Amino acid sequence: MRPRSFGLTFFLLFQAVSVGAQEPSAAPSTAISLAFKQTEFQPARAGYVSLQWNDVLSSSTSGGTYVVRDQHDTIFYRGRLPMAFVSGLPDGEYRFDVSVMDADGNINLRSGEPAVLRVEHWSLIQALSLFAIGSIVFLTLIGVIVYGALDRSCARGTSGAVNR
Amino acid sequence: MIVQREVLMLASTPILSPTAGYSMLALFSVLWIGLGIWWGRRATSYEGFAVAGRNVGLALGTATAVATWITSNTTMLAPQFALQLGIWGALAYCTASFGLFAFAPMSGRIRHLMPEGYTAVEFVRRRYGAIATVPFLIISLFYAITWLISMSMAGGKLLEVLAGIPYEVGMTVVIAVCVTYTLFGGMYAVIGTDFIQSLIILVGLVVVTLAVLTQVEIAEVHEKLQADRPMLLSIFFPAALMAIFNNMLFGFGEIFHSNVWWSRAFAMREGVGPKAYVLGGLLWLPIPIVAGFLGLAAPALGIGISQPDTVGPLVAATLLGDVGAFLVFVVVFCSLASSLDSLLAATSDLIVNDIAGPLAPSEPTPQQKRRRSGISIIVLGVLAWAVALPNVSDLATVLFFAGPLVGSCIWPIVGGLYYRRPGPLAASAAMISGSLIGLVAYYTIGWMVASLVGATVSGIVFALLVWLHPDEFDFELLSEPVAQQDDCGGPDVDNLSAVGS
Repeated sequence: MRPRSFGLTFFLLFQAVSVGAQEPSAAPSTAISLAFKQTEFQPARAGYVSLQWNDVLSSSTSGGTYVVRDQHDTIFYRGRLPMAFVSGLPDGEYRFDVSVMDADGNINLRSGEPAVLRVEHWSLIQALSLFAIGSIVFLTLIGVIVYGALDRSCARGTSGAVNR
Repeated sequence: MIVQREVLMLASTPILSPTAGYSMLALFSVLWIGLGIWWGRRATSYEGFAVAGRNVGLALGTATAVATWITSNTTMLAPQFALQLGIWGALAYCTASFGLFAFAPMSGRIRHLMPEGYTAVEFVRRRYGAIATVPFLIISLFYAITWLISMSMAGGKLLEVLAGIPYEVGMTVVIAVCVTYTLFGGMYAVIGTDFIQSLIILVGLVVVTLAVLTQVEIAEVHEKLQADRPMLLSIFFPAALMAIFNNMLFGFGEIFHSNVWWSRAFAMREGVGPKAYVLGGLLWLPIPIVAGFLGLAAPALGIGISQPDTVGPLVAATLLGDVGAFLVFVVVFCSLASSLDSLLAATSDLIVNDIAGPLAPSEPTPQQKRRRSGISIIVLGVLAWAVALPNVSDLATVLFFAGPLVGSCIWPIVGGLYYRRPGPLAASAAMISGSLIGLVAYYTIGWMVASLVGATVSGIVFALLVWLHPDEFDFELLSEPVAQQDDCGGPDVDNLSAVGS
């Protein structure tokens, strides 16, 4: 072995030994987590809620989408924005989770803690009472306008005003 | 068959390319500014600028009623209502047309009682005096500015959703365009552009509706909703039941009190207003139902909805692709412009006639009023831009905060127009009590009852105080001419009305 080759071999061996002596490197700090920004809500009295979570797709070049579903596996949202509007829910408790799904339908990431929503609609008696009040106000108002508009001929002032 | 799910999975991304979006934005901006300035060239007098010479005919009158009432909220909030409150929500929104029907006879009465009037606040000031003018002016300004901001926000959101144009850019351009042509043409420009805009809106909505109905099976939408979101189809949906008359009375309050509608009543030729408002209401009535169907279809189509106020444009654009996105863009841009310009013109009238006028030591000349109108329009535009810029709230929240306030104005306006006995105490107490208790209901129960509570409380207080403290108003006082001289030697009879007569 020529001196030059020997030197190179020694240098490479030195490099390899020093690398081999190191502990295996720690796992990369790029682990991504997916979590709702709010996991507990006030009871929803109208059966709808907006869910939000941290956006892990904005920096991703892959074609994944978010999927939001409840405990019964009903899908309420598919899309790339980190926000979902869920509506039309009857009374009950709903536990939502959000996941990232790739183009092949594989779930790559899933939220840990579910967002828990309790739906308690306003009482029907209250709603029907307000409905009835509204109809009375509406009918009275129409009556007042019609009476005022039609009755001008019976009791009009010099400018066509009603003398009441 | 409904649609290809793969396409819809990406529905939350812009449909139009930014290049196409910017091109259309530029095209329509130039069009509206050009048309507005061209139509507004006759606005040489203050009366021409503020009330288009008081000679607007039936076609233009109907068109401006339709275009103004088809706001971006109609195309964006009506689907949101349906998505939130189901079928009742769509029906609740369409009850806003009842306000136009109810205002029809009132517009004739307004024109008759105040042949030289300019604003709704002027009516309250002359009918009830200063004590009722203060709360009414505050409510009017608050509502007008709230509406202005919600329109501006809608413009920014729409352009962002459809074409990926940044919210700030879209919102700024929409405001700048409307300010520019309203500034030059006043009410002439507003009504002229409204005529074109209403035609475009109606044709666009018919095309979108037919196209969507060819791609969506109603039975499948019903089945999907019944399975996953049954409350949207429920007859006994409590929040929706509460919202029906609330929304109707909100619409009544908006139209009855707002100078947007009063200024049109003053601008229309005598006898035209009642017919124009009825026709406008009939043309408007089906639009929220169509728009609401888009909101109901979204869950069934698998379209991911992040922000409920964008569901309508998103569904139409997703179903119809580039053509749909183009149509939606055009319709909503026209809706925005037709409402924003009306608000700018009508609110500047309030500032000139009801704030600057009474505060001035002497009666301003028409030239001074015209100059002040221009300054007011610019200030309002800048204010709307500054508040809308942070994009902090959704449209419904912004809009419905004004609900109890305008609801409390219904009875003082109707009573004051038709009856002698209501006095200033009844009017002011009704507005203040209705607003305050309505706002309490807004915060303790929700927006879906606020206008109803405001109108109900206001009505009870108004009736009680009219009974306890009856007045005897002389309506002749309203028809007395306001000291005013026109810089062009009298009423400005325009040729614009020939189109509409």
